[in-house]
Amino acid sequence: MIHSVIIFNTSGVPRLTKFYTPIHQSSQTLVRKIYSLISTRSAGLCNFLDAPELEDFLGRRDEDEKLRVVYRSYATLHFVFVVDSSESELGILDLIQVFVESLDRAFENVCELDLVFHFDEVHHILAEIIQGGLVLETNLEAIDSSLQQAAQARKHSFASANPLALGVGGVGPRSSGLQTPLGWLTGKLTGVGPR
Amino acid sequence: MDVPFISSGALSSAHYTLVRNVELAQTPQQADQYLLEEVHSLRARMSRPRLSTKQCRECLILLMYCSMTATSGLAANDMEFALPHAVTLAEAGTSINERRIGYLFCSAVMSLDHEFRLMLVNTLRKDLEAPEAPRICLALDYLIQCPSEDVIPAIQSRLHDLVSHNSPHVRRRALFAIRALAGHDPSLLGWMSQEIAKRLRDSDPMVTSAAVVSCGILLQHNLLPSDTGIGIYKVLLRLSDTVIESSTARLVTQKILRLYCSLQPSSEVLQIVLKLIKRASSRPKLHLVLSDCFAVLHSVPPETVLSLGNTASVVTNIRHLLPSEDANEQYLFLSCLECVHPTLWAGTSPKIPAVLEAWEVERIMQLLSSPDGAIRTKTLRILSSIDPSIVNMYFSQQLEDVPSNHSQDKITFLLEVAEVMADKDGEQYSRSIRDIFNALSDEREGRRISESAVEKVLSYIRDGGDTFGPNAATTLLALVLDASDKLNSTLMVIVTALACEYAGRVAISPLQLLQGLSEKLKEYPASIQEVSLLAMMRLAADCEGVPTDVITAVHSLTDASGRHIQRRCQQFLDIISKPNVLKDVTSRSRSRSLPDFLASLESYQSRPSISPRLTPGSPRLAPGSPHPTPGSPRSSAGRTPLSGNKLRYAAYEPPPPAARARRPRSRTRTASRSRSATSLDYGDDIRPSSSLSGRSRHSEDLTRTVTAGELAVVAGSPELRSLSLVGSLFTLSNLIPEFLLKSSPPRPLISLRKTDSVDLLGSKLDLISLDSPFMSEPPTALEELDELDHDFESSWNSLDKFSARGWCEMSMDAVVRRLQGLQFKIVVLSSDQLPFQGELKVLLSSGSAKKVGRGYAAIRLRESTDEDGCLWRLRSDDEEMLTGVRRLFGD
Repeated sequence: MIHSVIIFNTSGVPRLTKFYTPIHQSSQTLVRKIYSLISTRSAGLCNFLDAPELEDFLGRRDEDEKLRVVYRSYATLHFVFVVDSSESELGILDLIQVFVESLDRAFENVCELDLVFHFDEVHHILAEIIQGGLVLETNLEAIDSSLQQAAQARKHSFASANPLALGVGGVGPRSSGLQTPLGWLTGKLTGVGPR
Repeated sequence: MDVPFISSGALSSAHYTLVRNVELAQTPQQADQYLLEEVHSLRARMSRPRLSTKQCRECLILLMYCSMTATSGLAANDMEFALPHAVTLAEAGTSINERRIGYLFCSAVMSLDHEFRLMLVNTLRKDLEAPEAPRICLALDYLIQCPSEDVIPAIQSRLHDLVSHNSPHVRRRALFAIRALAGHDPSLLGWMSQEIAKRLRDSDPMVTSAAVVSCGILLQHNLLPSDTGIGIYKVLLRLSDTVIESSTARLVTQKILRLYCSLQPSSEVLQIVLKLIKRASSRPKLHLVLSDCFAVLHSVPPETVLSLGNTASVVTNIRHLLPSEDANEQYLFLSCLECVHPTLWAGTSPKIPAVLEAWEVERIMQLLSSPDGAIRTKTLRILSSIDPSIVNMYFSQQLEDVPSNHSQDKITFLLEVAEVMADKDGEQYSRSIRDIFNALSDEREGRRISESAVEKVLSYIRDGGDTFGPNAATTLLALVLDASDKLNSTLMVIVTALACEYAGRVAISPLQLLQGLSEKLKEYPASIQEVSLLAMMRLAADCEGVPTDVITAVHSLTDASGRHIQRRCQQFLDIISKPNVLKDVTSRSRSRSLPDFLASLESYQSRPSISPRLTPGSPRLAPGSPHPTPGSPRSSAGRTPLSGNKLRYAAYEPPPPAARARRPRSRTRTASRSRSATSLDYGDDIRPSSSLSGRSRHSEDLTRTVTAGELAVVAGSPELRSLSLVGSLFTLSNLIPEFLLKSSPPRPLISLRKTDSVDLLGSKLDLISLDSPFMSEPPTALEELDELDHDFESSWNSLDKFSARGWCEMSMDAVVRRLQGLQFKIVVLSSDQLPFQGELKVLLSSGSAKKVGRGYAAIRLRESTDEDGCLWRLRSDDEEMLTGVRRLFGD
């Protein structure tokens, strides 16, 4: 199962934290730990890593249920899923892509800023994809139609309302590219998956 | 963040300002300061009356933002004040979006054993029974996220129906909810097993997927219906044709394949698996299911795979992944290859030739030097499964080739090889560790301690299990006993830490370890001497006495060392002379590890009078933690689960949104209606009250309290007549407590402190009160209660020592009358007053108490709408008082 879904930016500031199993320490410590694991990894490494050290945070697993981190980076954000052995790594990697594409459909050119100001909606989108650590839906059309009712409020995202401001960097030390679109499509078209 | 408010998408200007301040903060501390200030401001904002559901939603979203963003974290307690609002919003939100936030907040902040969970049971039940699918989905989402035993009796029959609901969104969530609730009550599965199996034939593939996942749980409990295997096979057969086109089909196929890893797959299933592997070789989209296909093959004996025919094709269909430069594809290749028994592809059996060509084997060997640790480890495991001697030889070769200027990565890699070589053999692991650090002698290392190596080795030994750990520790600790053996600095730290952790659990006695460490003290630099001295203190606690040669060694070290080590030596000598202190320090240590012992020792030194229960460095409990938080309003006394027959699941009417709390005050309404605020009570008069209008909230309540009609009804009651016979014992509150905002029976209503209220009560009340014989009651106690009832919520939160709750068969009127009979001072707050709107609130004082902390109790009563009785919750700081009041409730 999926134990947690975490989104943080390249400075390690969390933008979404969702836990499907009770955590034994503060979420901030867990985010810091995962950030330290991921931020030091170079682009040439695979998107999965065994993380037995996370057992201190998420509880001890069975012998065959080692915790693993599956992550994918888009522009200024890292999308991180903590899973156990019952999930396939590539399946989770695909699921992250589905999640990001769903965000993009909901916000149109989604950027970090949308996640900051609409993080309740991000939770909603995530809830249409994952429930209780299990995958609920992977079909983009189905996810999109489920979100239609609440879509109107979100359509006015920053990027869609300010097409000329795309790519403008932020100035705060906590976030360097709040308004940078995640650009998942570019990576997809060129055949080089975002890492 | 140069985004104007108008285009930011912020909920409000307050939201925008907060985010802007936090994002532009120069330091994390400054950002935290903004967030904490916001939490304080939200607390004040939420404590105001008439908070609309929209405002409530915004406050909860902001709180969650603060909780998530604060680098220092917010404790569960810091957010607890908002829980009643979240529960109310989940119940009374005017839209699905508002309710969603209520539920989201509850699931994120409320711990699994929080007493408020019980208050959500009714909301959940009502939502599940609602006709709208989104409401049902919302309740099911919450159940999946936060399942609890208490909710099962209330919803299980409805859940049974929802599995066959028209909406696929509801069906799939219902299946997940069953799965989640089964963790608390597995008997639910027996009841639902047929329904779950039926859903395998569902027209919606995601419902099928949920059914497959639920079948996994049925299988774990041996409840899978016998004919389910055929159903699952048919689904796999059907979906295997569409896996290329449909992502949903791929997901369901993955789930079924995972399930077959636990089920015994038939040869027909294995044929489908082989077909999928073959198709995946030319379709990158099918790479997703590859690792699951190979996991199925791994679950059957190699002979079974062999019997399927051309086994070489299993590996040849993934060989195209091997030359890839993409680390993910390399990882996938190795994951798949790891699942195939070497006899089927490596040429280890004379009957089956090797499948891979020489360049491919060479490529695999090259992966040993991959920068990715996971790829290296997988490669090592595959090589070890072919022949362990390959890895052994490789290890020896690597040890010989350690360059003098080796990097940290080299040590990490050697440790990885040692882990694979040892597998589950602790002794073998320790021997490899010794060899690694012998190769990295101090001459090469320059007495440098590799912290990451220490952490890696200690973690691996600790996580190795009950046999592995002590075996590995024994072998390494034996090195200490050999005085002639000079250990590498890093290894010495590892051994010292192990001595501390495993003393008493290994064959070597603590005394021997103590002597061994003392003999080696002089050979090492100060940093290691300090670690050794600490470990020796811990070991001394397990010894009957410290031998003189150890003391001599420490004395001689004192003479030859600097000030810091002298201080540690003195500390050692001091503490071994006080065995009781040493035992106390040891017992206060959180674990046997060296850092925890040091923390315990330091805290003892700095605060010798500290309570033994207060262990230093205890981790802060996070929201959602199942453990109780010190200082939390929850108390152990309230944890006893209520017996099933005491619970009532009848739906309460929703508490009214505060903004619409004003209701027309009917002069003919009944007492019970005045208490239970129903949606029917909403009037069209929603003008804000003003002081000039003379229609303040209190005055309204009191005006309706003493209408002539009501008094006439009361006057006709037998109780009043009997009381009037005895004379002056009559108090208004004795008869109509629910009408009153506050009463202090058996005294008259002198606790009605608001002057306008008293004025509006009119002369009748004064006349009544003048008749009371209790007028001579000292006013001080009243003042105390007055102070208390200023803020019921804070009184409620402060009375966290003892708590209880339950169902009472009496009406709330009867309960209040009985409470009056307890001879406590009493204040009653009506149900339409904040906080805890919709509940009657009662404060009790024993009278002897001078302040909160002794002899106070707070009670909340919620009436059932369809039967006589009420739910009660009680908190007190006095156990005797709590017991007395509980007895009154018949509990």
